[in-house]
Amino acid sequence: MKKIYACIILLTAMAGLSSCHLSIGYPERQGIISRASLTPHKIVLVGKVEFDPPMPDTKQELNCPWPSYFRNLMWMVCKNELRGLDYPDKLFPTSPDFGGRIVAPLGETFYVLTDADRPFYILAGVIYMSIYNYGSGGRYYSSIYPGSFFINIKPGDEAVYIGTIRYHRDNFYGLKKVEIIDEYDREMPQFRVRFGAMKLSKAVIRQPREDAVFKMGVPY
Amino acid sequence: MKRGGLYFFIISIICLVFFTYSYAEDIIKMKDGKVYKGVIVSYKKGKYTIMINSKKYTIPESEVSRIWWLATQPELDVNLVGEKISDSRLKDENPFRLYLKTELFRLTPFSQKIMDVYTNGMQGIGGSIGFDQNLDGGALGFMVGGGEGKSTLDSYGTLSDVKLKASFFNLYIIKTQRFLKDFFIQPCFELGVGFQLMTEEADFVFGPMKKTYPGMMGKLLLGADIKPLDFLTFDIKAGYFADSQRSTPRLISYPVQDSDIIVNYALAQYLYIGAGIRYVF
Repeated sequence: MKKIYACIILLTAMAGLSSCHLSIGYPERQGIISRASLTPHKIVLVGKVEFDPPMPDTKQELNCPWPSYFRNLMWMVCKNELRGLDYPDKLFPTSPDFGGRIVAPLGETFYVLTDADRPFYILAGVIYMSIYNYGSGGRYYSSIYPGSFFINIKPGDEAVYIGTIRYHRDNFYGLKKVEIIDEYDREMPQFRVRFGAMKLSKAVIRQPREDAVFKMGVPY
Repeated sequence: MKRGGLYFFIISIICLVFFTYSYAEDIIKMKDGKVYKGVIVSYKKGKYTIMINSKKYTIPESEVSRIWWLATQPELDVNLVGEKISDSRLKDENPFRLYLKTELFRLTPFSQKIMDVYTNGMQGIGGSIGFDQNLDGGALGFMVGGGEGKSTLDSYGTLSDVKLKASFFNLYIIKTQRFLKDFFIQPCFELGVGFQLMTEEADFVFGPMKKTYPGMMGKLLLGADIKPLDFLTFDIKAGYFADSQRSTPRLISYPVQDSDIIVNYALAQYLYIGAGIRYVF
């Protein structure tokens, strides 16, 4: 009887994992809630991603075992070099792309650990609009938002603030404009509550030009 | 030994708390040029909360010109040349602040019926206590006031030099329009309702008469709020004032009976002009 239960649990876990196979083996950047959790050779990255207008909670159709894994979250693809995504046409991410991603709750400030002295690029943002899990397989419909944002981490930084990435969208979640907003002064009090007197360096992402054309792997 | 360990633990916690909160202070420069030094402890819905000398104050984001976080002295020496750290008061974090107000006013009747009787209007003084919701420019107060005036009757009347004394008790709200954020004069309006006690004193040929009548009152005033300091406000208001006035009889026969004087109530309307000083604690 115990073996049957074990099989059921194993099958359920496999079904659940299939919905998030994209990230298996490619862990996200670890979130951090206080200075006590800071590990050596790591610094804190502070920023925010949001839609304008905001995305309603009901927009995502997540028929999978772990919807909270995707709900209202944007996965930010991060790499050390500026390049396209892994899929042959360089437009869609595959599993390796998601290694070291930032999981950003939309409209909320994220605090994640990143390597000290190691600048990197945010190549794109991915949000799963619908997931249909059929047995061992699944269908995914995602929206991809361009990045090519350089995160300028300098030697000696303890924590870096990159700004608010605001994706202006149309009714079909197509991108109209990308705006980078400096909300350092608004974020600082909350940062101080979490991390005390740690210095939060300002390294706001460069504001794209008004007429910038966004292509994966290409600077704007 | 156990007690020693406990003391050590407590002292460690105190030291930890002390060092955690003893970081350098922030400098906040306002658009009006004032500079404050303290620790900014939170930001919520467009307002910063800053702690200065263990007391919390709120500052609207729209009034902030620049913030120096954890400012070091060399930074300040460069950026704040010639600036003086302001010692004037800021708004408390608690948006409801107690205030006291004194007010002088004059009521001029503009209803013909009343003018025929109370020709001289009424001068008064009032005192208010209330709470100032200063962040949005609103206030709720309770006013106790009193006025005194002289009255005469029309040509048919026999009463003259009637002394009127009125006591007003009213709840009122003040709303200041904050669309001129950076200007020290703000348009405002005041709405108040309450009740009054009106006393008439007169010397009749048959002796003195004194009678008190209760009634209702209401006012709707427009004016300007002048705020030269954070804790002091002057206001000048004018507008409509109405009360349920006793309608004095036009013909009074001798000997006058009380029943002749106590007659119907009527609406009395006045032009109200007043000025006040409000001190916010």
